[in-house]
Amino acid sequence: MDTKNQFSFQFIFVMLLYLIIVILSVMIISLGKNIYDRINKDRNTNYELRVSLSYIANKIRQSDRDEAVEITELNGVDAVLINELFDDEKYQTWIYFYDGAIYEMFTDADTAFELSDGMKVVDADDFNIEKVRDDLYKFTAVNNEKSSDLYLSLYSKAAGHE
Amino acid sequence: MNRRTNVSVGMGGTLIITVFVVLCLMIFAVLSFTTAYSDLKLSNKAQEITTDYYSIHGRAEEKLAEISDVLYDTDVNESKESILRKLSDIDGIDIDEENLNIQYEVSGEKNQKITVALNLFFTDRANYEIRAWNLSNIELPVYEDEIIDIWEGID
Amino acid sequence: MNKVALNSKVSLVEIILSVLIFATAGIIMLSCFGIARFTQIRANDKTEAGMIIQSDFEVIKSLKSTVEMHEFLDESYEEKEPGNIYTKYYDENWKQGSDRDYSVTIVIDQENTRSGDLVKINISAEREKPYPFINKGSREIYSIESRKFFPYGGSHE
Repeated sequence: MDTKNQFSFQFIFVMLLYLIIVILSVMIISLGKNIYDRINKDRNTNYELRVSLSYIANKIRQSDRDEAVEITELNGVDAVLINELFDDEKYQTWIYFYDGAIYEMFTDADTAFELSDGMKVVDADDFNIEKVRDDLYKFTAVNNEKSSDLYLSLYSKAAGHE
Repeated sequence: MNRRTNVSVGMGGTLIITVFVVLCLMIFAVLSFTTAYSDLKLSNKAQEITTDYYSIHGRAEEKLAEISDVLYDTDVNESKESILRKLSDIDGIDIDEENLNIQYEVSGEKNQKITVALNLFFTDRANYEIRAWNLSNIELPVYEDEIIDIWEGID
Repeated sequence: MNKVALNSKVSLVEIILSVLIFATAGIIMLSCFGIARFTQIRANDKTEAGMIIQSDFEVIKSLKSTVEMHEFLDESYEEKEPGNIYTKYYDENWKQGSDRDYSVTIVIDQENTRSGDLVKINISAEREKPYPFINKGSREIYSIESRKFFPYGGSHE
Protein backbone atom coordinates (compact mmCIF):
# COMPACT_ATOMS: atom_id res chain seq x y z
CA MET A 1 0.00 0.00 0.00
CA ASP A 2 2.77 2.45 0.96
CA THR A 3 4.70 1.56 -2.16
CA LYS A 4 1.65 2.35 -4.24
CA ASN A 5 1.24 5.78 -2.59
CA GLN A 6 4.95 6.45 -2.86
CA PHE A 7 4.77 5.62 -6.53
CA SER A 8 1.86 8.02 -7.11
CA PHE A 9 3.49 10.81 -5.12
CA GLN A 10 6.78 10.69 -7.02
CA PHE A 11 5.08 10.22 -10.36
CA ILE A 12 2.88 13.26 -9.84
CA PHE A 13 5.80 15.46 -8.84
CA VAL A 14 7.89 14.43 -11.82
CA MET A 15 4.94 15.03 -14.09
CA LEU A 16 4.42 18.42 -12.49
CA LEU A 17 8.05 19.27 -13.13
CA TYR A 18 7.68 18.31 -16.77
CA LEU A 19 4.57 20.45 -17.02
CA ILE A 20 6.43 23.43 -15.56
CA ILE A 21 9.28 22.88 -18.01
CA VAL A 22 6.87 22.76 -20.97
CA ILE A 23 4.98 25.87 -19.82
CA LEU A 24 8.21 27.80 -19.26
CA SER A 25 9.49 26.66 -22.66
CA VAL A 26 6.36 27.95 -24.37
CA MET A 27 6.62 31.24 -22.47
CA ILE A 28 10.27 31.68 -23.41
CA ILE A 29 9.57 30.94 -27.09
CA SER A 30 6.74 33.49 -26.96
CA LEU A 31 9.11 36.03 -25.44
CA GLY A 32 11.66 35.43 -28.18
CA LYS A 33 8.95 35.78 -30.80
CA ASN A 34 7.74 39.05 -29.25
CA ILE A 35 11.26 40.47 -29.22
CA TYR A 36 11.67 39.56 -32.89
CA ASP A 37 8.26 41.08 -33.71
CA ARG A 38 9.19 44.33 -31.98
CA ILE A 39 12.52 44.57 -33.77
CA ASN A 40 10.81 43.89 -37.09
CA LYS A 41 8.15 46.53 -36.41
CA ASP A 42 10.83 49.07 -35.47
CA ARG A 43 12.75 48.26 -38.65
CA ASN A 44 9.64 48.78 -40.79
CA THR A 45 8.85 52.10 -39.11
CA ASN A 46 12.43 53.29 -39.43
CA TYR A 47 12.57 52.23 -43.08
CA GLU A 48 9.32 53.98 -44.04
CA LEU A 49 10.19 57.22 -42.23
CA ARG A 50 13.69 57.30 -43.67
CA VAL A 51 12.65 56.43 -47.22
CA SER A 52 9.73 58.86 -47.37
CA LEU A 53 11.72 61.85 -46.15
CA SER A 54 14.88 60.95 -48.11
CA TYR A 55 12.80 60.52 -51.25
CA ILE A 56 11.20 63.96 -50.93
CA ALA A 57 14.56 65.53 -50.04
CA ASN A 58 16.22 64.10 -53.14
CA LYS A 59 13.32 65.09 -55.38
CA ILE A 60 13.41 68.68 -54.15
CA ARG A 61 17.21 68.94 -54.30
CA GLN A 62 17.19 67.60 -57.86
CA SER A 63 14.58 70.18 -58.89
CA ASP A 64 16.05 73.31 -57.32
CA ARG A 65 15.74 75.43 -60.48
CA ASP A 66 13.73 78.55 -61.30
CA GLU A 67 9.99 78.07 -60.91
CA ALA A 68 10.34 74.32 -60.78
CA VAL A 69 9.08 73.52 -57.27
CA GLU A 70 5.65 74.54 -56.04
CA ILE A 71 3.48 73.53 -53.07
CA THR A 72 -0.10 73.40 -54.19
CA GLU A 73 -3.36 71.57 -53.64
CA LEU A 74 -4.44 68.54 -55.60
CA ASN A 75 -8.01 67.29 -55.24
CA GLY A 76 -8.12 68.55 -51.66
CA VAL A 77 -4.70 67.29 -50.56
CA ASP A 78 -1.40 69.18 -50.28
CA ALA A 79 1.03 68.22 -52.98
CA VAL A 80 4.51 69.04 -54.18
CA LEU A 81 4.49 69.99 -57.85
CA ILE A 82 7.71 69.87 -59.85
CA ASN A 83 7.63 71.48 -63.29
CA GLU A 84 10.06 70.10 -65.85
CA LEU A 85 10.91 70.74 -69.48
CA PHE A 86 12.01 67.90 -71.77
CA ASP A 87 12.45 68.46 -75.53
CA ASP A 88 10.46 71.71 -75.30
CA GLU A 89 7.54 69.84 -73.76
CA LYS A 90 6.28 70.72 -70.28
CA TYR A 91 5.85 67.92 -67.78
CA GLN A 92 4.83 67.82 -64.15
CA THR A 93 5.68 65.51 -61.27
CA TRP A 94 3.14 65.48 -58.46
CA ILE A 95 4.01 64.08 -55.04
CA TYR A 96 1.11 63.67 -52.61
CA PHE A 97 -0.26 61.58 -49.76
CA TYR A 98 -3.23 59.34 -50.53
CA ASP A 99 -4.75 56.19 -49.07
CA GLY A 100 -1.99 55.41 -46.57
CA ALA A 101 0.95 56.01 -48.89
CA ILE A 102 3.04 58.63 -50.64
CA TYR A 103 2.27 58.68 -54.35
CA GLU A 104 4.10 60.12 -57.33
CA MET A 105 2.51 61.02 -60.65
CA PHE A 106 4.48 62.05 -63.74
CA THR A 107 2.26 63.60 -66.37
CA ASP A 108 1.96 66.19 -69.14
CA ALA A 109 1.51 69.71 -67.84
CA ASP A 110 -2.04 70.59 -66.75
CA THR A 111 -3.35 67.08 -67.31
CA ALA A 112 -6.12 66.09 -64.93
CA PHE A 113 -5.85 62.76 -63.14
CA GLU A 114 -7.26 60.89 -60.16
CA LEU A 115 -5.24 60.49 -56.97
CA SER A 116 -5.36 56.73 -57.40
CA ASP A 117 -3.66 56.99 -60.81
CA GLY A 118 -0.30 57.76 -59.24
CA MET A 119 2.49 55.31 -58.45
CA LYS A 120 2.87 54.30 -54.80
CA VAL A 121 6.30 55.22 -53.49
CA VAL A 122 6.22 54.18 -49.84
CA ASP A 123 3.60 53.44 -47.17
CA ALA A 124 2.95 56.06 -44.51
CA ASP A 125 0.25 56.71 -41.93
CA ASP A 126 0.37 60.42 -42.70
CA PHE A 127 2.46 62.90 -44.67
CA ASN A 128 2.16 66.67 -44.22
CA ILE A 129 3.60 69.48 -46.25
CA GLU A 130 3.93 72.92 -44.72
CA LYS A 131 5.38 76.10 -46.18
CA VAL A 132 7.38 77.89 -43.47
CA ARG A 133 8.74 80.66 -45.70
CA ASP A 134 9.06 81.29 -49.43
CA ASP A 135 12.22 79.24 -49.56
CA LEU A 136 11.72 76.84 -46.64
CA TYR A 137 9.37 73.88 -46.40
CA LYS A 138 8.62 71.42 -43.61
CA PHE A 139 7.72 67.80 -44.38
CA THR A 140 6.33 65.52 -41.69
CA ALA A 141 6.06 61.76 -42.09
CA VAL A 142 4.12 59.64 -39.59
CA ASN A 143 4.35 55.87 -39.26
CA ASN A 144 3.22 53.63 -36.38
CA GLU A 145 2.55 56.69 -34.21
CA LYS A 146 6.11 57.87 -34.71
CA SER A 147 6.63 61.11 -36.59
CA SER A 148 9.71 62.67 -38.12
CA ASP A 149 10.14 66.19 -39.56
CA LEU A 150 12.47 67.40 -42.26
CA TYR A 151 12.98 71.00 -43.32
CA LEU A 152 14.16 71.66 -46.88
CA SER A 153 15.24 74.95 -48.39
CA LEU A 154 15.33 76.07 -51.99
CA TYR A 155 18.00 78.36 -53.40
CA SER A 156 16.29 79.12 -56.67
CA LYS A 157 13.03 81.05 -56.85
CA ALA A 158 10.02 78.95 -55.91
CA ALA A 159 7.29 78.81 -58.52
CA GLY A 160 4.68 81.48 -58.36
CA HIS A 161 6.83 84.09 -56.61
CA GLU A 162 8.75 87.14 -57.79
CA MET B 1 7.22 -14.09 -7.85
CA ASN B 2 8.21 -10.62 -6.88
CA ARG B 3 8.45 -8.60 -10.02
CA ARG B 4 10.04 -5.21 -10.03
CA THR B 5 8.68 -2.97 -12.72
CA ASN B 6 10.72 -0.02 -13.63
CA VAL B 7 8.73 2.88 -14.90
CA SER B 8 10.70 5.50 -16.68
CA VAL B 9 8.65 8.59 -17.34
CA GLY B 10 9.38 10.05 -20.83
CA MET B 11 13.09 9.17 -20.93
CA GLY B 12 14.80 11.81 -23.06
CA GLY B 13 11.63 13.89 -23.27
CA THR B 14 13.11 16.78 -21.32
CA LEU B 15 16.19 16.86 -23.49
CA ILE B 16 14.06 16.92 -26.62
CA ILE B 17 12.03 19.81 -25.27
CA THR B 18 15.22 21.66 -24.32
CA VAL B 19 16.76 21.14 -27.74
CA PHE B 20 13.55 22.32 -29.41
CA VAL B 21 13.35 25.43 -27.26
CA VAL B 22 17.02 26.28 -27.74
CA LEU B 23 16.65 25.81 -31.50
CA CYS B 24 13.59 28.08 -31.68
CA LEU B 25 15.24 30.79 -29.61
CA MET B 26 18.45 30.53 -31.61
CA ILE B 27 16.46 31.06 -34.83
CA PHE B 28 14.67 34.08 -33.35
CA ALA B 29 17.93 35.51 -32.05
CA VAL B 30 19.69 35.16 -35.39
CA LEU B 31 16.70 36.57 -37.30
CA SER B 32 16.48 39.53 -34.93
CA PHE B 33 20.16 40.28 -35.29
CA THR B 34 20.20 40.03 -39.10
CA THR B 35 17.07 42.20 -39.37
CA ALA B 36 18.52 44.89 -37.11
CA TYR B 37 21.96 44.76 -38.71
CA SER B 38 20.56 45.10 -42.26
CA ASP B 39 18.61 48.17 -41.16
CA LEU B 40 21.75 49.62 -39.58
CA LYS B 41 23.65 49.09 -42.83
CA LEU B 42 20.92 50.90 -44.78
CA SER B 43 20.94 53.77 -42.29
CA ASN B 44 24.73 53.99 -42.63
CA LYS B 45 24.41 54.09 -46.41
CA ALA B 46 21.82 56.88 -46.24
CA GLN B 47 24.11 58.77 -43.85
CA GLU B 48 27.09 58.49 -46.23
CA ILE B 49 25.07 59.87 -49.14
CA THR B 50 23.70 62.76 -47.08
CA THR B 51 27.15 63.60 -45.70
CA ASP B 52 28.51 63.61 -49.25
CA TYR B 53 25.71 65.93 -50.39
CA TYR B 54 26.46 68.48 -47.67
CA SER B 55 30.18 68.22 -48.36
CA ILE B 56 29.69 69.13 -52.03
CA HIS B 57 27.17 71.77 -51.02
CA GLY B 58 29.88 73.36 -48.84
CA ARG B 59 32.36 73.36 -51.74
CA ALA B 60 29.71 74.93 -53.99
CA GLU B 61 29.22 77.67 -51.38
CA GLU B 62 32.99 78.29 -51.31
CA LYS B 63 33.01 78.73 -55.08
CA LEU B 64 30.04 81.07 -54.78
CA ALA B 65 31.97 83.13 -52.22
CA GLU B 66 34.89 83.33 -54.65
CA ILE B 67 32.60 84.59 -57.44
CA SER B 68 30.91 87.02 -55.06
CA ASP B 69 34.28 88.44 -53.99
CA VAL B 70 35.26 89.10 -57.62
CA LEU B 71 31.93 90.82 -58.31
CA TYR B 72 32.16 92.82 -55.09
CA ASP B 73 35.57 94.19 -56.05
CA THR B 74 34.35 95.50 -59.40
CA ASP B 75 34.22 99.19 -59.99
CA VAL B 76 30.93 100.99 -60.68
CA ASN B 77 32.23 102.21 -64.02
CA GLU B 78 33.87 98.94 -65.00
CA SER B 79 32.83 97.40 -68.30
CA LYS B 80 31.05 94.07 -68.53
CA GLU B 81 33.87 92.62 -70.59
CA SER B 82 36.38 93.48 -67.90
CA ILE B 83 34.20 91.91 -65.21
CA LEU B 84 33.72 88.75 -67.26
CA ARG B 85 37.47 88.57 -67.84
CA LYS B 86 38.10 88.72 -64.08
CA LEU B 87 35.50 86.00 -63.54
CA SER B 88 37.12 83.76 -66.13
CA ASP B 89 40.22 83.67 -63.90
CA ILE B 90 38.24 81.57 -61.42
CA ASP B 91 38.89 77.87 -61.91
CA GLY B 92 36.10 75.49 -62.77
CA ILE B 93 33.39 77.90 -63.91
CA ASP B 94 31.78 78.30 -67.35
CA ILE B 95 30.72 81.75 -68.42
CA ASP B 96 28.09 82.44 -71.06
CA GLU B 97 29.02 85.99 -72.00
CA GLU B 98 26.03 86.50 -74.27
CA ASN B 99 23.38 85.65 -71.68
CA LEU B 100 25.52 86.70 -68.68
CA ASN B 101 25.25 83.28 -67.06
CA ILE B 102 27.77 81.47 -64.94
CA GLN B 103 27.65 77.74 -64.38
CA TYR B 104 29.79 75.41 -62.35
CA GLU B 105 29.61 71.90 -60.99
CA VAL B 106 30.91 70.37 -57.81
CA SER B 107 31.17 66.58 -57.67
CA GLY B 108 31.15 64.24 -54.72
CA GLU B 109 32.22 60.69 -54.04
CA LYS B 110 28.82 59.01 -54.10
CA ASN B 111 27.97 59.59 -57.77
CA GLN B 112 26.32 62.93 -57.08
CA LYS B 113 27.06 66.47 -58.12
CA ILE B 114 25.55 69.91 -57.62
CA THR B 115 25.16 72.12 -60.67
CA VAL B 116 24.99 75.83 -59.89
CA ALA B 117 23.69 78.35 -62.41
CA LEU B 118 23.94 82.07 -61.71
CA ASN B 119 22.50 85.04 -63.59
CA LEU B 120 24.64 88.15 -63.59
CA PHE B 121 22.96 91.52 -63.40
CA PHE B 122 24.28 95.00 -63.03
CA THR B 123 22.86 97.60 -60.69
CA ASP B 124 25.20 99.93 -58.81
CA ARG B 125 27.69 97.08 -59.00
CA ALA B 126 27.83 93.65 -60.56
CA ASN B 127 25.62 91.13 -58.78
CA TYR B 128 24.49 87.54 -59.15
CA GLU B 129 21.21 85.73 -58.75
CA ILE B 130 21.00 81.97 -58.15
CA ARG B 131 18.98 80.42 -60.94
CA ALA B 132 19.66 76.77 -60.14
CA TRP B 133 21.32 74.77 -57.38
CA ASN B 134 20.32 71.25 -58.24
CA LEU B 135 21.57 67.84 -57.36
CA SER B 136 22.07 65.18 -60.02
CA ASN B 137 23.94 61.95 -60.67
CA ILE B 138 27.40 62.09 -62.18
CA GLU B 139 26.90 58.83 -64.07
CA LEU B 140 23.48 57.69 -65.10
CA PRO B 141 22.75 53.95 -65.25
CA VAL B 142 23.05 52.46 -68.72
CA TYR B 143 20.17 50.29 -69.85
CA GLU B 144 20.99 47.89 -72.64
CA ASP B 145 18.62 47.85 -75.57
CA GLU B 146 16.57 44.71 -75.57
CA ILE B 147 15.04 43.29 -78.68
CA ILE B 148 11.97 41.36 -77.68
CA ASP B 149 10.31 39.00 -80.12
CA ILE B 150 6.65 39.90 -80.21
CA TRP B 151 4.13 37.29 -81.06
CA GLU B 152 2.50 38.37 -84.26
CA GLY B 153 -0.58 36.23 -84.01
CA ILE B 154 -1.79 33.24 -85.89
CA ASP B 155 -1.83 33.53 -89.68
CA MET C 1 3.42 -8.89 -5.22
CA ASN C 2 4.53 -6.52 -7.85
CA LYS C 3 6.74 -3.70 -6.80
CA VAL C 4 6.69 -0.69 -9.01
CA ALA C 5 9.73 1.53 -8.69
CA LEU C 6 9.87 4.81 -10.48
CA ASN C 7 13.14 5.36 -12.27
CA SER C 8 13.19 8.91 -10.99
CA LYS C 9 16.96 9.16 -10.59
CA VAL C 10 17.44 9.03 -14.37
CA SER C 11 14.69 11.58 -14.92
CA LEU C 12 16.19 13.97 -12.41
CA VAL C 13 19.64 13.75 -13.98
CA GLU C 14 18.05 14.39 -17.34
CA ILE C 15 16.28 17.48 -16.05
CA ILE C 16 19.43 18.83 -14.45
CA LEU C 17 21.32 18.28 -17.69
CA SER C 18 18.58 20.06 -19.64
CA VAL C 19 18.68 23.02 -17.28
CA LEU C 20 22.45 23.27 -17.64
CA ILE C 21 22.23 23.16 -21.47
CA PHE C 22 19.44 25.70 -21.41
CA ALA C 23 21.31 28.03 -19.09
CA THR C 24 24.45 27.95 -21.26
CA ALA C 25 22.52 28.49 -24.49
CA GLY C 26 20.36 31.09 -22.80
CA ILE C 27 23.32 33.30 -21.92
CA ILE C 28 24.44 33.31 -25.56
CA MET C 29 20.94 33.96 -26.88
CA LEU C 30 20.26 36.71 -24.36
CA SER C 31 23.31 38.64 -25.50
CA CYS C 32 22.29 38.01 -29.13
CA PHE C 33 18.85 39.48 -28.46
CA GLY C 34 20.44 42.37 -26.59
CA ILE C 35 22.81 43.14 -29.47
CA ALA C 36 19.91 42.93 -31.94
CA ARG C 37 17.75 45.26 -29.88
CA PHE C 38 20.42 47.92 -29.46
CA THR C 39 21.54 47.60 -33.08
CA GLN C 40 17.97 48.46 -34.10
CA ILE C 41 17.92 51.36 -31.65
CA ARG C 42 21.20 52.59 -33.17
CA ALA C 43 19.69 52.41 -36.70
CA ASN C 44 16.62 54.35 -35.50
CA ASP C 45 18.87 56.93 -33.82
CA LYS C 46 20.79 57.48 -37.06
CA THR C 47 17.57 58.23 -38.93
CA GLU C 48 16.22 60.60 -36.26
CA ALA C 49 19.53 62.37 -35.77
CA GLY C 50 19.94 62.68 -39.53
CA MET C 51 16.58 64.39 -39.91
CA ILE C 52 17.23 66.80 -37.04
CA ILE C 53 20.71 67.72 -38.27
CA GLN C 54 19.59 68.13 -41.88
CA SER C 55 16.64 70.27 -40.81
CA ASP C 56 18.84 72.61 -38.77
CA PHE C 57 21.24 72.98 -41.65
CA GLU C 58 18.45 73.60 -44.15
CA VAL C 59 17.00 76.31 -41.90
CA ILE C 60 20.44 77.97 -41.72
CA LYS C 61 20.67 77.68 -45.53
CA SER C 62 17.43 79.64 -45.85
CA LEU C 63 18.59 82.52 -43.63
CA LYS C 64 19.97 85.75 -45.03
CA SER C 65 22.71 86.77 -42.61
CA THR C 66 24.90 85.57 -39.77
CA VAL C 67 22.81 87.69 -37.39
CA GLU C 68 19.69 85.70 -38.32
CA MET C 69 21.72 82.51 -37.98
CA HIS C 70 22.85 83.34 -34.45
CA GLU C 71 19.28 84.33 -33.54
CA PHE C 72 18.00 81.00 -34.79
CA LEU C 73 20.71 79.12 -32.89
CA ASP C 74 20.08 81.07 -29.68
CA GLU C 75 16.38 80.23 -29.97
CA SER C 76 16.65 76.54 -30.86
CA TYR C 77 19.66 75.48 -28.86
CA GLU C 78 19.80 75.25 -25.09
CA GLU C 79 23.44 75.94 -24.28
CA LYS C 80 26.09 78.13 -25.80
CA GLU C 81 29.78 77.79 -25.12
CA PRO C 82 32.64 80.06 -26.10
CA GLY C 83 33.81 79.48 -29.64
CA ASN C 84 30.28 79.48 -31.09
CA ILE C 85 29.41 75.99 -29.86
CA TYR C 86 25.69 75.42 -29.38
CA THR C 87 24.18 72.29 -27.82
CA LYS C 88 20.66 70.98 -27.39
CA TYR C 89 19.46 67.82 -25.69
CA TYR C 90 16.90 65.15 -26.46
CA ASP C 91 15.31 62.35 -24.46
CA GLU C 92 15.24 58.69 -25.50
CA ASN C 93 12.32 59.35 -27.88
CA TRP C 94 14.15 62.23 -29.55
CA LYS C 95 11.94 64.89 -28.03
CA GLN C 96 13.46 68.00 -26.53
CA GLY C 97 12.75 67.95 -22.83
CA SER C 98 14.36 67.48 -19.47
CA ASP C 99 16.22 64.22 -20.18
CA ARG C 100 19.66 64.32 -21.72
CA ASP C 101 19.97 60.99 -23.49
CA TYR C 102 21.16 62.52 -26.75
CA SER C 103 22.86 65.79 -27.60
CA VAL C 104 23.10 67.71 -30.86
CA THR C 105 26.03 70.11 -31.09
CA ILE C 106 26.68 72.72 -33.73
CA VAL C 107 30.07 74.40 -34.10
CA ILE C 108 30.21 77.60 -36.12
CA ASP C 109 33.47 78.86 -37.58
CA GLN C 110 33.03 82.21 -39.29
CA GLU C 111 35.44 83.43 -41.96
CA ASN C 112 35.03 86.95 -43.31
CA THR C 113 35.56 87.27 -47.04
CA ARG C 114 35.56 90.53 -48.94
CA SER C 115 31.92 90.29 -49.94
CA GLY C 116 30.38 88.36 -47.09
CA ASP C 117 30.76 85.70 -44.41
CA LEU C 118 31.67 82.13 -45.29
CA VAL C 119 30.53 80.08 -42.31
CA LYS C 120 31.84 76.58 -41.68
CA ILE C 121 29.19 74.55 -39.90
CA ASN C 122 29.74 71.24 -38.16
CA ILE C 123 26.64 69.61 -36.68
CA SER C 124 26.91 66.31 -34.82
CA ALA C 125 24.65 64.14 -32.70
CA GLU C 126 25.92 62.05 -29.82
CA ARG C 127 24.52 59.62 -27.31
CA GLU C 128 25.35 60.45 -23.72
CA LYS C 129 25.91 56.84 -22.70
CA PRO C 130 27.36 54.15 -24.97
CA TYR C 131 25.06 51.49 -26.36
CA PRO C 132 24.88 48.42 -24.07
CA PHE C 133 26.07 45.11 -25.57
CA ILE C 134 27.83 47.02 -28.35
CA ASN C 135 31.41 47.61 -27.33
CA LYS C 136 32.93 49.06 -30.47
CA GLY C 137 32.11 52.45 -31.96
CA SER C 138 32.12 55.93 -30.51
CA ARG C 139 29.14 57.70 -29.02
CA GLU C 140 28.79 59.83 -32.15
CA ILE C 141 25.67 58.93 -34.09
CA TYR C 142 25.65 61.35 -37.00
CA SER C 143 27.76 64.24 -38.24
CA ILE C 144 27.61 66.73 -41.10
CA GLU C 145 30.15 69.33 -42.09
CA SER C 146 29.35 72.00 -44.65
CA ARG C 147 29.54 75.68 -45.41
CA LYS C 148 27.13 78.53 -45.97
CA PHE C 149 27.96 81.84 -47.63
CA PHE C 150 26.13 84.94 -46.41
CA PRO C 151 26.81 87.83 -48.80
CA TYR C 152 26.72 91.33 -47.35
CA GLY C 153 23.43 92.98 -48.13
CA GLY C 154 21.47 89.72 -48.00
CA SER C 155 21.44 86.84 -50.44
CA HIS C 156 20.70 87.25 -54.11
CA GLU C 157 18.06 84.71 -55.10
